[in-house]
Amino acid sequence: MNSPTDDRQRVTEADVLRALRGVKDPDLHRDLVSLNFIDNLKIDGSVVSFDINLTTPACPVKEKLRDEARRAVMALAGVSEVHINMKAEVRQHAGLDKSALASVRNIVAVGSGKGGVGKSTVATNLAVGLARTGARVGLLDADIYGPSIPIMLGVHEQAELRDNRIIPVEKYGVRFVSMGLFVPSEKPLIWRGPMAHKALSQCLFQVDWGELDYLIVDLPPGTGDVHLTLVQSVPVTGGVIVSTPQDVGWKISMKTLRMFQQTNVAILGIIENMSYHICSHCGAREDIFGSGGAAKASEELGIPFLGEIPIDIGIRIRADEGTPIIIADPDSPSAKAYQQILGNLAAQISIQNYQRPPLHIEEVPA
Amino acid sequence: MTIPSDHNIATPVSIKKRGDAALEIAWGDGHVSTYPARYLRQHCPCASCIDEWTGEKRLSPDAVPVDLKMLSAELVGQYALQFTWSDGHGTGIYSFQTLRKLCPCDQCQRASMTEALDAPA
Repeated sequence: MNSPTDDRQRVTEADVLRALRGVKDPDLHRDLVSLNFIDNLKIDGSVVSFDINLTTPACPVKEKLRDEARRAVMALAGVSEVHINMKAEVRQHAGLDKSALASVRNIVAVGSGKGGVGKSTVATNLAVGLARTGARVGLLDADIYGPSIPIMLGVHEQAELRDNRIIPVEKYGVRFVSMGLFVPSEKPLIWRGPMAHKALSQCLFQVDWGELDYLIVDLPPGTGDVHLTLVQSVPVTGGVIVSTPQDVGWKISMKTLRMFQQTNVAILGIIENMSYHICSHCGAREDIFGSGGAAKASEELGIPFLGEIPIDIGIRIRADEGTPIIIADPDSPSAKAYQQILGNLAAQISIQNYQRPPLHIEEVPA
Repeated sequence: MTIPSDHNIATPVSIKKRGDAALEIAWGDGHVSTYPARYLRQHCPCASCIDEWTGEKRLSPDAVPVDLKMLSAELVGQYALQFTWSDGHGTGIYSFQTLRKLCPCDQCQRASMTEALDAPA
């Protein structure tokens, strides 16, 4: 019944793992096996199945890795079928486990040099986009000088308080809190430093965020109390700078960048917003705010360039209507730009967590 | 070996609190700094120990008790340390950049003196 060739053709776990060692994660520069990404390896005759456990559901090279892994295993003798289950587990940034936000795996701060560059729109679309990949996402609108995110998400209700805890509003798969929701919308938010500090601390620590893979914090433009409170209170995985292409905008963005650097917050990357305009009638491209400023700066500074987003009247219309463009018009050039950017951002977060050793204080005898 | 420049924060590889007597930091470039508790307290950078505007010391070094103990050491974000001391003080936030400049070893003290002498008048 069993021909003599059957034994030679039986594939083993060792064979499969050896084949998978040829597949490298392009961001972490190591193979899937030494990264411990391979799980649940089962061999049933000539059918091989396993899980690939990535570090983010938003991994931009997810499909490529799966295809490469499948090809590598199919090439083995004795394999007729390969079933791959893609999973993701977002790694927690070091230090958060010991903080008051232990259920949050990553805190990402979104900053800008000046106001009006579209930082809040970018933060909102990134948050919603990440949530759509399956990640658990929180969004904290800490822009006390212009808390616009409630409008962009179409959230009008005040935050709910239960047992002295703030319950985030869930919209488009994102758990959302705005510092602006504590004040009726027509009233101005005029807060001195200590009030801003207290309000941010409450919005960080008194909120029932639950388990989150990413907490995106939309900072006020420039630098100030809110930034300082954030970096002093919690370990931040990294900061993102949003800028327009103009050089002038860039010089101001440098201050925010330096602030992150001085407080040892990793720079996850630069996003160039309002990068160019595409005429809705003839499709001509016009670089209204100049061109290439952010890409140039990122090269000069050695900081990842996450991508550029065009000026699109649809973004503004949708924001006013309360639907982020990444949901409202997923095939638009802007939505596609956001998709790419959030994949790059998720990859940078994974790289940060992989590379950065945890900082802690060891108690030793005198 | 130069003191790291302004935006190249000295990043610790390990931080050890030696009982209540000293703090030891091993830096990314291989240097190791050991700070006796009293020395650290004497160099507290908080606004009551140093004049915010002129940088002049308001804390007299001799006023710090000889048997001063470091009761606790905590991380502030990822860029600084904060201590509580046996004399009741505890408001100083020491960034890693500041700590690196404060390294009391001969090599670093010589380097910082040379820097001060070379600085334009």
